[in-house]
Amino acid sequence: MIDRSASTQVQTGQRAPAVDPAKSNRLRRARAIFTCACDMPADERLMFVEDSCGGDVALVELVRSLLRADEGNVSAWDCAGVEVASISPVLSLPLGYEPIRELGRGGAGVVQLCRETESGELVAVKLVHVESSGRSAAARFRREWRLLARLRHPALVALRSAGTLDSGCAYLVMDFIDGQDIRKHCREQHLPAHRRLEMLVPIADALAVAHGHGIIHRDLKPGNILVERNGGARLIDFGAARVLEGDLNTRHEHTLTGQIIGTLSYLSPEQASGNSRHADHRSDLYQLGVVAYELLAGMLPYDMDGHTSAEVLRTIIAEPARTLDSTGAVKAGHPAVAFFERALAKSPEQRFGSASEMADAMRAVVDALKSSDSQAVR
Amino acid sequence: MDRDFSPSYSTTTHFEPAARNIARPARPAHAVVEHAVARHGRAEHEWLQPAVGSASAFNRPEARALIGANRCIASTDDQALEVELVISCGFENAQAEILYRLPAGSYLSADDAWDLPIFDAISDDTERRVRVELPEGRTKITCRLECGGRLSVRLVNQNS
Repeated sequence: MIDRSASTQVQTGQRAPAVDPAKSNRLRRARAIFTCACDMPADERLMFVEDSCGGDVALVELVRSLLRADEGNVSAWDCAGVEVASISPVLSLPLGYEPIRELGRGGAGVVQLCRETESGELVAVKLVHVESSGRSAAARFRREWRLLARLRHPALVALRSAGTLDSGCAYLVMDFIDGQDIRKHCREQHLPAHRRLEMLVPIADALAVAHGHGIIHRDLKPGNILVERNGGARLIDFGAARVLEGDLNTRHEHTLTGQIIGTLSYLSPEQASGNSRHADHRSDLYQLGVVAYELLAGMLPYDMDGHTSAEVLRTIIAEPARTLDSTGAVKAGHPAVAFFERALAKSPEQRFGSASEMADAMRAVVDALKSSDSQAVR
Repeated sequence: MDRDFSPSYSTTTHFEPAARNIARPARPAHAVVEHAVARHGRAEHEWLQPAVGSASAFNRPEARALIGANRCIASTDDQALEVELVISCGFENAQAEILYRLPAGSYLSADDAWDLPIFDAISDDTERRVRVELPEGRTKITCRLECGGRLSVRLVNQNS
């Protein structure tokens, strides 16, 4: 009899590790409780977790560690010592997409480069295993991809389609961006300072569009800004995005659970201090400021060499950022110095109020850098 | 009456989101498929921007749905396949040319502004063709195809 499998198994070139069914079930249960707990008020979470775990102390601890990780804005699954592969060893592609190679692997799924059989076009297919998180998680995931699909900007990646398989695996089909990490691109192309910052202006404009729809990226870093062959920068991976919805008195925040939510060196002070649920669009602006600083200065705004994770967090929260002129990237009094003082302010209130405002300020700094670059050439 | 405009919502010390300025999706003058969903068993596929990308298919072993900017083809020789199409039409005259075969248990309906049926088909094993005038605005075509069912929707823009 012909095996009429409704999906194509992803060929990663590696054998999937053997899975202990008991461990896998336990992790699924933990994830389901964790997902429900995320939607509850903070003061009710602990009681809910204890009730749901039915006296299983180890399970309570596992869920609590996931909640702590979520609050701390680090990868929940990494923090709990959970191997991603053990949760979903085999993720399947929908029919009609031929796998080419794996592009990346995150907290709860993989991104696969595929060829769409119908059109022959290359697309990026993101596979996420949501079934074990329950029906509400799948519904939330669906709601969020619909919101993300509304974001239209040349510097954003278009979502083409999405769906769920019989297995409960959800997938998103996106345009494939054949680009390079912006940091690597700047280094290899030896771009002048003004050009480096100029590439980030469309990213700030794209953030303004996302923020206008109530979507916060939360994981801005050089690896998530790709430069295409035509020199245009694109912001990718809204996998860690948070959607703010509703009016002011019934505001809910949704998190794509199980995703990597933030990268340590680029966390904003409010994310680093564990207030990630209250981090707003100004947190994205801070992260964009860190990326811009790194591109201009060639180093991060803080000295983090040899620091432990806890020390890095403390530095981000408490230590003042190095001024740009102290790195030798610009002279004292250059407009870029004041720009970064504002962009990297510890208090969100002292930062730029919106991405549009930051984009305008960036354009002014680009103009100032252009003249200083041309003077340096002379 | 005391017209006190104090806020009805609770004031909090943490972040309150800034007012949003969300533009409505642009509606082109001619008819295009704006959004589509196909369901087959527990599997589901949603076309988020068919008007932007090229046609793409939802392939199942015995069922298939292909959606493009101005067409939809769906068929099943297995369990039921449900298809929802949202067609957006501007001021230009346009029609949806629908070719269908609806075995018992199937249905096909076209609704204007989501609730007024402008066309309802009756289950019948023969193949039939109909042309539906698309009103300005959005039209939703809902179809359930039982085993052996076929649906083809082609948007005909009069000015193109």
